[in-house]
Amino acid sequence: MISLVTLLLLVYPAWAAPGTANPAAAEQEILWVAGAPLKSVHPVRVTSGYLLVPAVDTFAPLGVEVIPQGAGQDNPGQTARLELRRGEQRLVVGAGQLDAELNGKPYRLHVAPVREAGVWFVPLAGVASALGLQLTWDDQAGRLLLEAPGQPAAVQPASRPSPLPGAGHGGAAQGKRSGQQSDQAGVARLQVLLLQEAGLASLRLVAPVQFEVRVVPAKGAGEKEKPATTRVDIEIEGLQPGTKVAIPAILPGQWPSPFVSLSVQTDGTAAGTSEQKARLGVELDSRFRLITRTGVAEQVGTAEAGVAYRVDLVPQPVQEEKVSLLARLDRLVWQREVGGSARLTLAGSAPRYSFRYQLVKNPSRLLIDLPGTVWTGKETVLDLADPDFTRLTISQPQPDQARITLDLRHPGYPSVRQDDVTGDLLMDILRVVEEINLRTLSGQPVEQVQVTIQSSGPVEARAYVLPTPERLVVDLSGAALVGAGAKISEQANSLVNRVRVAQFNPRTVRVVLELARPLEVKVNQVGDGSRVELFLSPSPPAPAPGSGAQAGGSQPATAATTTVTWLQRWQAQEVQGELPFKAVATAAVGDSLFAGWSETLAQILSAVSVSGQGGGEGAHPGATEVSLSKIAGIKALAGRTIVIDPGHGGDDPGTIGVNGAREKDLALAISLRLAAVLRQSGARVILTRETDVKPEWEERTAPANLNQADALLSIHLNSSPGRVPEPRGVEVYYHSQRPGADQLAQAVLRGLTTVLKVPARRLEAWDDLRVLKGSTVPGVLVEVGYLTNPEEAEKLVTPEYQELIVEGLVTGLSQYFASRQSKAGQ
Amino acid sequence: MTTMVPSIQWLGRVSRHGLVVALLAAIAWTGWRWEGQRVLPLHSPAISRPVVTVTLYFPARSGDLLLPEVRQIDAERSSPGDIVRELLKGPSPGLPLVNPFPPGTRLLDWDLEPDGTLVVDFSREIVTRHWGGTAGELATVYSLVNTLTSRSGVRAVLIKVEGQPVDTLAGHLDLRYPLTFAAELVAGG
Ligand SMILES: [Zn+2]
Repeated sequence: MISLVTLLLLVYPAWAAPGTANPAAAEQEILWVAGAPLKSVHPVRVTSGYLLVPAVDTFAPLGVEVIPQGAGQDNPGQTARLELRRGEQRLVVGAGQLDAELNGKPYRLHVAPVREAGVWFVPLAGVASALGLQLTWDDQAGRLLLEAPGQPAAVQPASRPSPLPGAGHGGAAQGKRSGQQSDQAGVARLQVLLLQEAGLASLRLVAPVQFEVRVVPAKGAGEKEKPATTRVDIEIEGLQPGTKVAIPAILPGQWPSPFVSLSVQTDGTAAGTSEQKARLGVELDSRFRLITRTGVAEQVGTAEAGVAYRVDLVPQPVQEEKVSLLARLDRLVWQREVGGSARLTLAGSAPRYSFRYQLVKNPSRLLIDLPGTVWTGKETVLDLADPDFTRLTISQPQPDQARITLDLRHPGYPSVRQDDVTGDLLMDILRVVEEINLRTLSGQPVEQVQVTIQSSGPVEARAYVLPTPERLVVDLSGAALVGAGAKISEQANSLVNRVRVAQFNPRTVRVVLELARPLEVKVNQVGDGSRVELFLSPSPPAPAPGSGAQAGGSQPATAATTTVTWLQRWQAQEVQGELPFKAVATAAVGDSLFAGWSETLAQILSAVSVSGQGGGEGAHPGATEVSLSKIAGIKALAGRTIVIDPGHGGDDPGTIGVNGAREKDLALAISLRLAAVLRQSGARVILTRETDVKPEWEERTAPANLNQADALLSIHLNSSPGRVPEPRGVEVYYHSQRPGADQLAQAVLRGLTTVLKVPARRLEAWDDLRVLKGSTVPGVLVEVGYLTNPEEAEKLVTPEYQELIVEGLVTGLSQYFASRQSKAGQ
Repeated sequence: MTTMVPSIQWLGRVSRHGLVVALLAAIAWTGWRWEGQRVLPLHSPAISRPVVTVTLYFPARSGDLLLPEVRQIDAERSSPGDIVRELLKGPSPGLPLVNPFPPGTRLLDWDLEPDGTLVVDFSREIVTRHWGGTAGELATVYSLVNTLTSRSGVRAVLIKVEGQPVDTLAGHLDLRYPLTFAAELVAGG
């Protein structure tokens, strides 16, 4: 879903290219650094829809050290590299390379840096985000503001006082405005802005005078026209003589853009001379059409009698007269998965919401801002029974920005991610694993090794043994490795061969000790829980098996096994204390591609994404792609009503896995993911529960019956203790008296076993299953896996596997509906 | 009786439960054949009292099916309640069967209605300590139902807990109504 960034490349007219005679002044003024226009003799440039800026001139004013590295300077044989350092953040980029390194870890840019004649041009948004700088678009002033957080740029005084009383001059958040529409030299300027914001792509024309605009079919369009694009002309009249057309600024919105190319004609006269007309040739991706918003004209630069004209683009299928420019947010759902992250589901008009977050102190609160979003409810405070957060507040501090404030139970390192599939926000307050120290204890009768794992705060620890080769695994949950990772210091010994540490999942750090032989391990988690100590000594030989238990002694030591004993263990509780370090983060601008877009638009684009076009340039490494279109029959889901019943809930946990996972939590997590994907495919989805509650039986079946649903899926996880071998795989039950249910069950079972590659354990009509008996529609009870099987249980708790389950279920549903459609069509 | 279980060899005294562990009935169905009529290690009784042979269904250790264990019990203590208590003891050691009843589960009461419905009342452990899962729930319920409905006179089984009707044991199977023998779950059935 994410790899679209460069699908549609913007082709720029020659006058937009750097190095032309066109004065750079206009475009330079688009970018303001630390409260002043960018000062540089090197014009910013646009590549693939991204701004490349001169590195030193742009970032040095914000205290960033810009250091050319290594052999790059005058050695053509090697890639030139540039290091940008701000505080703890260290970004190293290479000329012509998308892959960069942020604090030693891979970091992907959307467009490659360029080094020309010793001058580095780097992608503005990617670098700003990596260095923790704030990049915002000042809508009123038509500027990009690059600032260091916490020190807002001084508002540039307007060249003239605003004649409009109460025009928010310097007051409200949007009060930044000035007379930017006129050049200092008095030359009028028509700014052409390409924006993607708040749900729409738009082209905005801004000039200090009244002007008129007509949109006409492009001259000469037709024969040259590529089928994938449409061309229109925007004729602009009434411009002041001498008006210059400013270069389009590409703003850090979300690309790809529906704009394929732009060209400007200025009434046959050369640029810079007297002119009153201009014609803008626009080549558009054909799946979009222009809607002109006559009279909507944003009052940009009102104070200067400026007029803006706005051309919005909407995808073809949209029927509505009015297109909402802001994403609507109607509902929030808070969940906490077992041993997982806090999950906040945002439900409203957008399939995904863009966000940025930051931590404020005293008291510790996590602020998550949702730009371009309107919360349709009242300001609401929710008390949370959550290990990390005490309270959630949703508010609307700005007309176009909603805010979620989370009060932290205890300080830590916040992490907010977005679920690739559902768009849910996943939040964690993590400790940092700082150091792992291994030393031998002297003066002991047998060799003894002490391993100390030091974290910045309390972590939940789990220790267990994996055989062949013998390994001791310590999982620290609620922990992260940051920067260069934990420092490991090892002392030579004969018990531990090697120590490894890695971020096992977004909230778990795994430390693995490779053991030279079976050991006796004592674990002690001391004090505030931030330090885990392991005492390792050789295992005493196991007693000889069989009768005569004391006869041993001659038994070889190989019969011994590694044992783990806890001496003391930290229990989660409220902790007071200072934050280990300051943590301010901004979600990378390019990370949420479809934030705020209208649903239809997002669907069109995601369909594009899976058609296999486009280079890999913008692909995010590791991003999961849910390629719906590869699922056969997916279209048959459109318009279907599907009821999803997440099993158990509330005081009924369902089965408890060998890993502690609860059926109710996993069933809900899978169901919510499933619902999101089905909705994306055009189905109408009803969930019998969306939180941790236990519905009455009637509440599980009535929605299907009342809505005459096309299918009912009850999602469960299985249990069957004491079996040898441990069962694993999928079971599907259905009701023999519900027409279609048997085909549905078969299709779902096939979908799941194909995608998950697990055994089909059972496909059976079982009429006494309560949820199937009570519903009148074709229904299935699906047991997606066994929580009694240790391997399967480990997989079932991971988002990756849950996504596969969803894919399997969607595949089954699609095939079921597709086969019914084809039957009905015969 | 010995004609029914011809291969039993009585070797010693009665087991500590006062019952005789007998053989696993020979069973066979498509694709799998149990290994013949096998003599199990027995503590044989010096029987002086009459015994009856009962078939108890337990979940197989591998697979989803219920397998019958044939046991001989004191004929004077062979009421439906006694058979439930036999079941609650779990399968005999050494058999490839598992105990489908949560630990601590006790039979509180039972009653055979005139229409052949056997009402069995269990202590709360059967719900509170149940491990759940549809497979797990089916195994528990149908061990009971299949065993009891194999007896003449019992047509269906209604499960209660602490004297009260229950919706389900573990959230899946409707227990509001009496259940009958499920041949699908029985090997060869
Ligand atoms: Zn269940």
